[in-house]
Amino acid sequence: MQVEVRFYGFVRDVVDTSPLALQMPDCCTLRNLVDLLVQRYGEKLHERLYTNAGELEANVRVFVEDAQAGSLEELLGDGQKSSAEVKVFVLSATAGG
Amino acid sequence: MAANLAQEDRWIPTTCGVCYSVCALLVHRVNGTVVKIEGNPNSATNRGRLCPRGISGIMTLYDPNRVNVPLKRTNPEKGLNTDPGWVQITWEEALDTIAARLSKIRREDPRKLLLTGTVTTQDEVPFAKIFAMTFGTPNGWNSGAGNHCGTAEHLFGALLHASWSKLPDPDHCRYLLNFGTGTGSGSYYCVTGMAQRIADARVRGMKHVSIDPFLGPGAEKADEWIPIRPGTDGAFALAMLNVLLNELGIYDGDYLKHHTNAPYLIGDDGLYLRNAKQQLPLIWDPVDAGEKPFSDPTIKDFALEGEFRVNGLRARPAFTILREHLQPFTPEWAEPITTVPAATIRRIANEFGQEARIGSTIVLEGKVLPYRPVAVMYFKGAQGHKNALLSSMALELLTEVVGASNVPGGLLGMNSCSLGYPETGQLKWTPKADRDGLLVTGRWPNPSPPYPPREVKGAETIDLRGMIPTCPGSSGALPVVMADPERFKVPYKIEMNLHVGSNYVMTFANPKAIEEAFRNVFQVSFALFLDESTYLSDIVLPAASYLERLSHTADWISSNSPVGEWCYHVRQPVVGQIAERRSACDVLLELVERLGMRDEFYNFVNLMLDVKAPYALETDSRYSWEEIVDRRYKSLFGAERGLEWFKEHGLIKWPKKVEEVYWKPFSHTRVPLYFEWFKPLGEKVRAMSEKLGIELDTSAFQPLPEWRPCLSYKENSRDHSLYAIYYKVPMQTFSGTYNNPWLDEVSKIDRFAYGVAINTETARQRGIREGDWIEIKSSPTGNTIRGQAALTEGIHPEVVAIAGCGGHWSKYLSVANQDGKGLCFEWLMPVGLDNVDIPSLTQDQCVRVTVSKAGAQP
Repeated sequence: MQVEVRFYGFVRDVVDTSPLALQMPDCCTLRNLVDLLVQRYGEKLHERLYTNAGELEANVRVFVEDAQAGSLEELLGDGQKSSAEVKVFVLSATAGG
Repeated sequence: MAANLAQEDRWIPTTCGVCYSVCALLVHRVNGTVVKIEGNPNSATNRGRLCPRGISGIMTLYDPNRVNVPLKRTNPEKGLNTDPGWVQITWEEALDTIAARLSKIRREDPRKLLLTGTVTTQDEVPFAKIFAMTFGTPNGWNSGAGNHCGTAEHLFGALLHASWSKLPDPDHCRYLLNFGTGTGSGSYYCVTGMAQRIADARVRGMKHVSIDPFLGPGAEKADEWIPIRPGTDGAFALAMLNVLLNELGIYDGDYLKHHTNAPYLIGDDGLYLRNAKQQLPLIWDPVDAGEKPFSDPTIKDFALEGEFRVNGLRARPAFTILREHLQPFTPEWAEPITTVPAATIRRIANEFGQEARIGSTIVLEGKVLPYRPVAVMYFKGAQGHKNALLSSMALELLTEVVGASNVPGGLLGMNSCSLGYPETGQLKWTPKADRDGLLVTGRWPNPSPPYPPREVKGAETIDLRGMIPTCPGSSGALPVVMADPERFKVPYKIEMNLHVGSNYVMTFANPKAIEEAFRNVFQVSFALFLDESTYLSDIVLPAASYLERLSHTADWISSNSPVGEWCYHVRQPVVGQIAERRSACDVLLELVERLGMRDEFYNFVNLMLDVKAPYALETDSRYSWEEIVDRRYKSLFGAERGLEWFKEHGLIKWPKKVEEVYWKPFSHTRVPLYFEWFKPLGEKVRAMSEKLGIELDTSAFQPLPEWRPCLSYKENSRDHSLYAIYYKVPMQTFSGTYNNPWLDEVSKIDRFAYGVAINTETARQRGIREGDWIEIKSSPTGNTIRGQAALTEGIHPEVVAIAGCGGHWSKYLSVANQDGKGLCFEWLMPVGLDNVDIPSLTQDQCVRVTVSKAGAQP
């Protein structure tokens, strides 16, 4: 399937934030996709997205077709869809008074 | 005759913007001019009450010192007293210059942008945060409160109450212990609404005990004031805990078993014992005489005490370890530290324990709930020290051991649980449990709450928060790192500061050190006044004040009363545009377009402001700030309740459910009595700091509380025999309000507001009399500040207390910059990590000083 990925936020320093078109297997998971992105952009993106336990960092949100993904194990496609739009947000924080 | 002249006479609902309480206002406008401001009695937040700051907003609106046009610096030299040589420029030139700078930085490395601001500007900073996130920088510093932020308190707010802050249950509390806060008097959250509610609570019989070095605005409303040495509140709390658990045997066993990790088994390595299969923490079931995972449905009872063997290892419940740990901390141990008599500590512990009424219940809305009418409040005064984490932990455990956490009468998170507006279900959040059963916030001001613990990363932010993920608020490390990023292996330097309302030069330690950190940064300030921080600016933009701009008040968590009703307001302009002043939100939207960030920014707005279909922003349209606010309102409250509805009605409110206010009995979450994960987190921080060659004291990452002396406590030379402390006053907010003539007038009436509180006997020993000019010289910085002595018996004899953030010097603040208009406490405080609590990055706010009559040799 054809997947368009866009990164948003505190990730500009390690990736290209223009839309990225990728060809993925029809029944791949989000984790497959993120792993592929990490392969492409290297250790810095891995650090920004993943915890040491291999889960997404708390400040990372992934949306597929405008719905927030609950888990990286979710299927990106169900074998029926031919394309998907994925948005990866890396949030940054300030708080206090 | 006058009646004939009046063509317009309106009362306009809006909200205050002078502090973080966001009180609702009714603004009286006659023929286009604001003539009066009152509290809006329809609001559940302040219930018609208003403090001096709220009433005086009219004077800020029309202050002739306001910035009215964009300004450009012409003097390349920067300094705290260096005239910037301002010249007027057009908005077009200003925006061209700013956009060019931003564009270059974003292309090179977006992390070089810093955002500073204050929550007192409300929507502008959250909106600017979205701008900064979109831009791609992780660097933001809320600098309005600066060192006066309750950093570690917010951390425990998340860990124990699923909230940013806490307040006592004003409807049912009967015994309030107040360590160094202005709750119910003149500061802290929901300030005016809580002042009324606490006053009402005292009338119905609540006892309010204030433990504070100074009988100031907080303590003067109490039934009893107990003077304490600064920075020793943790020792007082430890002794109370010891009395409760080991002398009186007062604790809520049922609460501890079902709502805390007190029964979790701890091994000799200090960590949970876990089952092999799922790695879940174990407890001991005394009925079945065996260990079980904490969530095992066959558990018949939880052992809180004892010593067991699990797989050949010694295993003890966390509660047993806590009790044993507390044994050395007797009132007699605490007396010489705190200067509070041991008998007083015992009495307070006994009163608190008895009034907790463990075992009692109350029926609310037909539901039987635990009734624990005691609460422990603390904030900057108690926790703003080098020992912030461990002292806060001790203070928090007082509420927890008696089961008074988020139940009727007790300490309530603000606002931990929301079931949403009934007609739309928005916004909804509920505390959750993680795999270990421990509490995770349902909503938190930052994208990452402090728990579960985040990865320890290298120094990717300019304030060490990436490396120390337990810091929830303003980091005391920022000035240190910013001054020398290479030392901290930060791979970039801050090049530009987008400064959205705060006078940070006067709210962080040692203005000279702050000047050094910021002098080489290109600074763009949205400013009401040319205050001290704008002396370091390159461009100043004329900001619209809260009475001149539109906002949806953004914060449901900290702006709502903990009890009563949810209340959500609008902030709207009450006058037309004055001069060339503009809302920061409008200007940021313009910059978004100039930087070509619309797609990214709108996506972030939809995400961060919960703007959902069909109101979500579409990238192929361009929206004004009014349209964005309208869409957010409709997304939250339905199509009928857009911006025009809010402009007319001012607010929307609905009753809070008992499950929202007193959520703990309805929740399966547990909170830590034993902070097991702190120690391994500290080891990771230490390993990272060693890897980067940074010296950090990580020893405070401990699972149980201790008391550790501040640097000021250890400084005991005869020359610096007094402690200087800072406190908040109801008539000023940080360093942003001192130019207001009405607040100036009311401050002059209160001899402490601009003066230096000093004990009568302490003053006599130094030959100081009421009204004398005195000099206060800091031991660590050597800086000296001057003020007029205000003698009182109501202050600890070892202490001088300085109110607020006065002592302005900007030549553009014609009211505030006069002699005798308060003191800038921060001149006394050193910048440096040795004066910072590393786990929370809290900067200490007490200091040893020499006090003498002005003119005498210090």
